[in-house]
Formats: sequence, structure tokens, C-alpha cells
Amino acid sequence: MGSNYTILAVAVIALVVSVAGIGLLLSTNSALSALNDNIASINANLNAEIVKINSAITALTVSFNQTQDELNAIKASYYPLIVKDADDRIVTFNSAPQRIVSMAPSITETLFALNLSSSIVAVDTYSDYPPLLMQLENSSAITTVGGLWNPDIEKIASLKPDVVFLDQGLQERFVSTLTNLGLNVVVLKSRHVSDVEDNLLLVGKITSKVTEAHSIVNNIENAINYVSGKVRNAAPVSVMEIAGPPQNGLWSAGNSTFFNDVIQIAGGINIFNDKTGWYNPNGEDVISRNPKFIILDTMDLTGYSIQQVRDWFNAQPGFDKVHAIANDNFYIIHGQAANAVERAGPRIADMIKIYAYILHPEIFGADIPRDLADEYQNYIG
Amino acid sequence: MEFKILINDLMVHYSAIKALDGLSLCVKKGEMLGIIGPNGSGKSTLLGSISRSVRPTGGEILVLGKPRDSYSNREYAKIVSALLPTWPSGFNMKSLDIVLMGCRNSTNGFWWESSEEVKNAEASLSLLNAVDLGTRDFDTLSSGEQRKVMIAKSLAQKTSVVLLDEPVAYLDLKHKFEVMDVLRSLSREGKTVVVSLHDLDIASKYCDRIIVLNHGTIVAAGTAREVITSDLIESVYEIKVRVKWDDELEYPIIVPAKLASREGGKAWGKSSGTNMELGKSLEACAFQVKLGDHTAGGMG
Amino acid sequence: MKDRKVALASYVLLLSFLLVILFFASILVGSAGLTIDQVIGSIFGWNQDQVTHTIIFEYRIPRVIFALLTGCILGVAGGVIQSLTRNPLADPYISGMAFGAAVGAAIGFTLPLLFLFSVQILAFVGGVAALGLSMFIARRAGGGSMSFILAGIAVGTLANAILMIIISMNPYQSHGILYWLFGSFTTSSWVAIKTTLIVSVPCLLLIFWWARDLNILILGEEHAKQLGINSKLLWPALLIISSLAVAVCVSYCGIIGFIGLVSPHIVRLVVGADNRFVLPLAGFTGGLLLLASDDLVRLPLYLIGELPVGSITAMIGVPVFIYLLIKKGKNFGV
Repeated sequence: MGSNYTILAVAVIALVVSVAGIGLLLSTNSALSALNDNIASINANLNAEIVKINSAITALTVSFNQTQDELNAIKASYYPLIVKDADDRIVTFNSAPQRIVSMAPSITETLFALNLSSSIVAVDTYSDYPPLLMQLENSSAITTVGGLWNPDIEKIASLKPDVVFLDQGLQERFVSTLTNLGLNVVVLKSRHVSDVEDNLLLVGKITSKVTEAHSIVNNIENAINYVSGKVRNAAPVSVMEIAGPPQNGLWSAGNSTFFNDVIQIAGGINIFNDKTGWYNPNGEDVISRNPKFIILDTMDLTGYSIQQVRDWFNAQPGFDKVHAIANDNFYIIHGQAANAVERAGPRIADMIKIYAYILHPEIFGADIPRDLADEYQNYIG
Repeated sequence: MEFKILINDLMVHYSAIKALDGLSLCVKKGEMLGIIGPNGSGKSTLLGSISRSVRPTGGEILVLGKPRDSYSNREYAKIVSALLPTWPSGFNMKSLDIVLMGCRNSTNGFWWESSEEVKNAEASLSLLNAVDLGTRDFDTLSSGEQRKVMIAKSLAQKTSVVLLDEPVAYLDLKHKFEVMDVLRSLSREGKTVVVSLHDLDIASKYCDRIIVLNHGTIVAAGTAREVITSDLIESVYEIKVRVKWDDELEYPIIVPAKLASREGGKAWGKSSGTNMELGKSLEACAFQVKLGDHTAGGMG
Repeated sequence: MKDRKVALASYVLLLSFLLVILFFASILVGSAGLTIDQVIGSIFGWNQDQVTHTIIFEYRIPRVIFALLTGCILGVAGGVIQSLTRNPLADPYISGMAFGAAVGAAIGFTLPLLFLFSVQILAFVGGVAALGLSMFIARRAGGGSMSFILAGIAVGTLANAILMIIISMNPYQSHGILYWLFGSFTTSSWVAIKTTLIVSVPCLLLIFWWARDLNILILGEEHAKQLGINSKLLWPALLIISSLAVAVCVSYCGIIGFIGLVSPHIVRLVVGADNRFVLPLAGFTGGLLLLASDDLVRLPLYLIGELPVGSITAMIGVPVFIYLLIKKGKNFGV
């Protein structure tokens, strides 16, 4: 009677509950399994990541070890070294050169700047800086092997050098003669200020003085940047650059000369930069271009006194109107100061500064004497 | 009759100057032809045209039957030899070497001449009686001696045609005749010899035929007797002369008309009779004169 | 002519003997400070020092041989050109070739390096171009030797002017160009010797082949033609081959004067003007003179450094030249 209905109700409820429960269970199961999957995949990801990290760590360790090895290996196998010189010639060095011959003053100064004085066996007759060089020549530790245009081939060969540095502009035709004798020849350029830095790096590389080379180049770069930065906003001032006493002929530097580079960096503009090479101006040229500054550079005044040189300029008709002469902006640079600016060597940075000080006193505030020689170093700030 | 040289209407013009103007000529084998004429009449040009030194502007020249220009240099050198009027100086070689150059065409030797050539050269020199000149330096010889050596060089070429431009200039009497004798004997041997000469009398004696040039054309041709007359000489040389033929010697005597008689003319060379008068005329020229026992200006 | 053969042979032998002695003496000269036994030892093998060997076999011996070769070529070419132009003051550079080669070399110095031997090749081309130009102008001007001399002067002057422009436009190379002009055997090498031999041996052989005809050319083009020589071909041919041989030397060693002018005259003073004697003997004499000059240049006089060899040849050549001028000038109506 009523109990059947109860049993039926219970059964229905039980059925519903179980169905619901099963359904619930089932859905939960998938959720769980999805969760599980998630977890599993997260797990897997994590694992993968861990594996990656592990392998990365391993790789890093390996590469760290490798780098160490490499570094060691590099240090040990720096030589044989293969370089390209200014002629694009490939030169091989099997060990650090211990016997070096330099055939140009700029190259000699570069070598000394890199502390290679003990490796130099011979230089050209025009090399005369730094003072240590003269000492070494006097004590016969270093000998001379001819001039810039006529190197003494036999003597060079007899000194058994490990490398001979030649200047491209001066000694190109001796390259094959020296290489025929089995010598290592490296040709260096000296046309532009940038060549100075290239040469320092190349020589440093060859002699495994890379750090020193970079440091010197940095100094030069700093000096140039310092100067360029300061003169950047100032108008370039016109300059006439003269070589040698005018009594030997008035020669002014044109646009493919080393001086032109120096002047440009120092914030000047060469009044003859439309001429190529060395230009022999007449009075008209000078007066019409009216330079604000005249800088005369000569290693050797060839017997004339400073006053005689100045008198010559004063005596030229019409020159008294030229700005540089009327305003006492005529600088004569000689002796070692002239060498420092003429040679494509490490001292160029100093002279770029001097030129900048001369041309832009309003920026730098320096007072350079109108007659500057070996004491130029005192003025470099 | 075989013509060795045949020239037809030859013209040689140098821009404005007509050196030869329409000249025709034929020369037989074994003939000795003399060319005479005043300076600038074209004698050297004519010889030069035949010897190929001169390029004709017009006309034709046939040598040994063929046109002049059809021969190569080497071939022509074997048939025609020429004594040119000038030669450079300053390079010193032995005269024999110069003569030996004539043998160059028949040379067998490569560096040195063969002994036959040397014999040939020496023979040429001895023909001209000049063997002793052979070892001497050419530059040290007198003009006449040099000329003999050059003639020997031409002879050494052993050509059938021999052209000579003024062969006996600068030669003294003896050598003049020696050379002309040699030339005549060559023509008797059958060579064709053409010479230009200034000496009319020598031309008369030696040449079979003479042609007279004036202003680039032939104005007369024939034997000496026919050609060398006072009229012709006057018209060509523009000087009055008297021509007298010595029949025994077969030789013309040519004398300027002015000097032909004793009277007339104050010719400088006229004999003035006494030494005194000579002395006076010399005095007039401000010379100091010593006349034997007499003193200048004295009359005694 | 047996005695002439004997005469030539004996002169040749004598000069060869001198040459051999000078050759060995020259190998001993140099600034490397090598002693005699070092040198001999290196040559004959018992001195094994590599550096000594290299200096002797790669520097001294090539330099000595090249100086000899150049002197020989200059002497022969000088004799040829003097005979061709009938001018005793002629030398191989009379065609303006010297300045033409200098212009070529100057261009080689100032152009960026295209190929390794640019200076040599350009110098050779420049010299030959100058010669060609002179010959071209001379032919247009009538073709005589006088017109050739004048054309050579014109071309040489023009080339000199161009050279001056190149030098003044290139300050950095001007010294190099000038030193090249002065002449130097510093850059002698076996390559230079081989190249020069390849060009000059056939040229010299041809010149000697034609020595007899060259004698006849002295008489003048008319006389030469008369004697069967094709002077229209022979004259330019001789000029070209002697100039080619000189141009090759010049392209390596620069302009060396006086050897070509003076050597033939020295020989003529002794043996007369027969080119069969003059040309070979002038070759020997030129070689001896030039080698002796180069030896003087190479003496280790540290004070002076190596002098340009052209100045030494001039110092030897000028007194000889003045002597000749005084002695024989009367003949030339100079």
C-alpha cells in the first residue's frame, strides 16, 4: 500500500541521485582529468623548461669552459697571425717580431709609442724622435739604414729583420726588392689623420700590443672628439698653411695634404683647399683670400731666423692688409713641433689640439706663442 | 740597237721650280754620254732621276727595257751605280771599307766581306790608281782623293750602267785624265757610262755623245764637234767665247772673247809690260814694293 | 780579312777578361759588411749562412748582371742611333723616349695600385709612345734624320712639360718620381733580367746582323739606296729595335745618361767607325762603365748613402765627353 509508493520514491530518488551522481562524477572526472591534463601539461611544460634551463646551464657552462679554453688557446695561438697591409698584401707572422726595421719617422714614433723600442734594430736617417731613439742610436743598439727615398737594401737584409715597415707614398717600389730577399714587408699609409689610428692598430696587432694600441688610439680619438666637439658650433676660420721658409719659395698646402686634415679637425678652413697637392700662390691669391691665420710649419728654417721669415711676409706688397698679418695671427711652428704635425704619427693628437687652440682662442682660452718649437708640449691642456 | 736607258718627256717639278721640263733621251749600250750645261740646268736632277734619288713628276724612264720603278732596291743596285755629288763627313772609316760597300749586293760574307769582294774592291781602286788610299782613313783624304774612292765604290758594284755626277771635279790634271781614261775603257768594255761635266774640253775628248742642258731641257745633242760651238756656248752659258778646234789633237780650245785679242780691255790679268808699271799698280793698292834693284816709285 | 777578324777577336777577349774581373769585384762590394771569404764561401757552398746567400744571390748578383746588361744595351743602341742620325751627339734618348718613359713612370707612381708592376709597364709604354710619336712626326716632316732629331726634341720637351705638371700635382710622390728619373739599380731582380733578356736578345742579334748595312746607312739614305739597301725599311727598323731594348731597361732602372753617348765614341777613338767593331765593343764598354759606376754607388760610404747612379755616369762621362768634343769637334764643324 503506501510502502510501495515509498519504495518507488526511494528508488526513483536513488536512481536520480545515482544518475546525477554518476553524471556529476563523470563531469567532475573530466574536469578532474582536464585539470589533471592541465596539471600534467603544466608539469610537462615545467619539466621542459627545467630541461631547457638545465641544458642552458649546461651549455653556458660548456661555453664558459670553451671560452676559457678558447681564450687560452687564442693566447697560445695568437701566432701565426695573418694581416693585410695598406697595399692589401697579406703578410704572415709566425711569432712576435723581435727585430723591426722602420723606414719612416712616423712609423718609428708609432713603434716607440707602443713600447717596442727594444725590438727595433734599424730606422731611417730622418727618424729623430723620441729622445730615447737618439740614445739607442748613440749606443749602437739601433742603426740607420738609409734615407726615405734610397733605403740601403743590403744593410737591411744583413740585419735579418723579422719585419720591415715601409711608407706607401715613399717606398712602394722597394717592396718587391725586399720580399725577393725573403723579408716580411708591411706597407703603411700616411695620407690622412685616420691612417695614424689604422697604423697604430695594425702595428699593435702585429706585435701583440693590442691593448696598448687601443689605448693610444683612444687617446687620439678623445683628443679629436674633444676638439671637434668644441669647435663644432663655431664658424671655421680661414687658414693659410705654409711649408718651409718663404725665401725657398712660397708653398701652401692644398686639399690632398695631411695638413688639410689637421686644419679641418681643428676648426679651420684651408684657403687653398680648392687646389690639389702643394700650391705656389702669388701675392694676389693671398691677399684676395685674406686668411685670418697664417701658420708656417718647417722642421728646419734652413739658416733663416724667425725674424727674417716674418720680415719677408711684411715686405710683400699688400700683405700688410692681410688679416693674419695685420692682427698678429702669424704663427711659426718649427723644430719638434713641426715634426709632430707633419708626421702621421701618435703626436698628431697634440698638434691637433695646438692648432685648435691657435685657431679658436675664444673657445679654448689658450695663448699660444707666435713662435713655437720643441716646447710645444707645455701648452697641451 | 739596244737602248740601255730610255727617257721620255721627263718632268721634275719642285713646287714652283721646274728642274726638268720635258726631256727625252736614249742611251745605247757601250755609249759614253756627256751631259754639260750651266749651273742649275738640271744635270744633277737628270742623273738623280736615273739613279732613283729623284722622284719624277711626269714622264717615264726605262732602264734595260723595264720601267725604272719596277726594280727592287737590290736589283737596281746590280744594274745602275751612281756617283752622287755629295756625301756626309765625320764618321771615320777606312777607304777600302767604303769601296767594299759597293760589293754589298754580291756579298757572300755575313759579318766580314769575302776575299773575292776584297779583291774586287782592291781592283777597283787600282783601276783608279788609288790603292794606297785604301788603308787610309776616309776623312783624312782630300776632296779629290775622296772622290776617287767614291768612284771606285761605284765601279766595285760592277753594274752595266754607270752614272757619275762631276767625277773629275777637284781632281788635278793627272788624276782627271786617269779617271776619264778609266771611264772610257769601261764604256769600251760595253758598260753604259753617263757623266756630267763642267769641263767642256774633257767632255769633248772622251764622250761619244754630248747633250747640253739648259733650264731643264736639252738644247743640243750630238758629237762634240757639232755641239761645242761659240754660238751654242754663248746662248747657253751667256758668255762670248771663241772656239777653235785643234784638228791634230781633236781638242777644242775655248777662250773668252774678251781675252782673245791682245788689245782692248783692262783685264786684270793682262800683262802690263814692265815690272815698273806693275809696281805702280801695286803701289796704288798701298803695297810696299821692291823691284829688284829698283825701289818703289823710283824710275831708274 | 783575317787581320780584322783577329783584331775584333782580340778586343773582345780583352774586354771579356776585364768584364769577368769586374764582375767578381762587384760581387764583393756592398753595404752588408760581408767579408771576402764570406762571399766566396757563399758562392762556392761552404758558407751555409742563409742571409749571406740571399744577399749575394738575390741582391748583389742580379744587380751586377742587370747593370752589365743595361750598360751593354745602352752602348750598342747609342752606337746605332749615332750612325742612323749621323750625329755624334746623339744618344738612345734622342727620340724623347727618356721623358716619355718618365711620364709613364710618374703616372704609375701617382695612380692607385692597379697591378704590381705598374711603374715598369707604364714606363715602357711611355717610352715607346714617345718614340712612335717622334717617328710619326718625322715621317710627316719629310723623313730625314734631321727631322727625326727635331721631332724627338719636340716630343721630349712636351713630355717633360707633362712630367712637371704631374710632379707638381702630387707632392708626396714627387721625390719618388725624381729618384726614379735619376736612375737606380736598387730594384734589380732576376725577373728584371729575364724580361730584359727576352726583349733585348733578339733585338741585339738583329742589330748585329745588320751592322754591315748600318755602315752603309752612314753614307746617307741616297747612297744606301744606291747600293741596294731598302733604307726606308731598315732605318726605322733599326731605330725601333734599339729603342725597344733601351725602353725595357729604362722601365726598370730609370734614365741613365751618358753611357749610350760616350761608349761608342770611346770605341771609335780606338778602332774607327766601322760598326762591326763599334757595336759589340761599345756593348762591352758600356757594360763595364755602368757596372763600375754602380759599384762606386754601392760602396758603403755611410755618410752619403747611396748616390743616384746617373750622377756618377755623368761624372765619368762628362770629362770624356769634353775631351772628345775638343779633340774631334773640329771635324764636326761644331
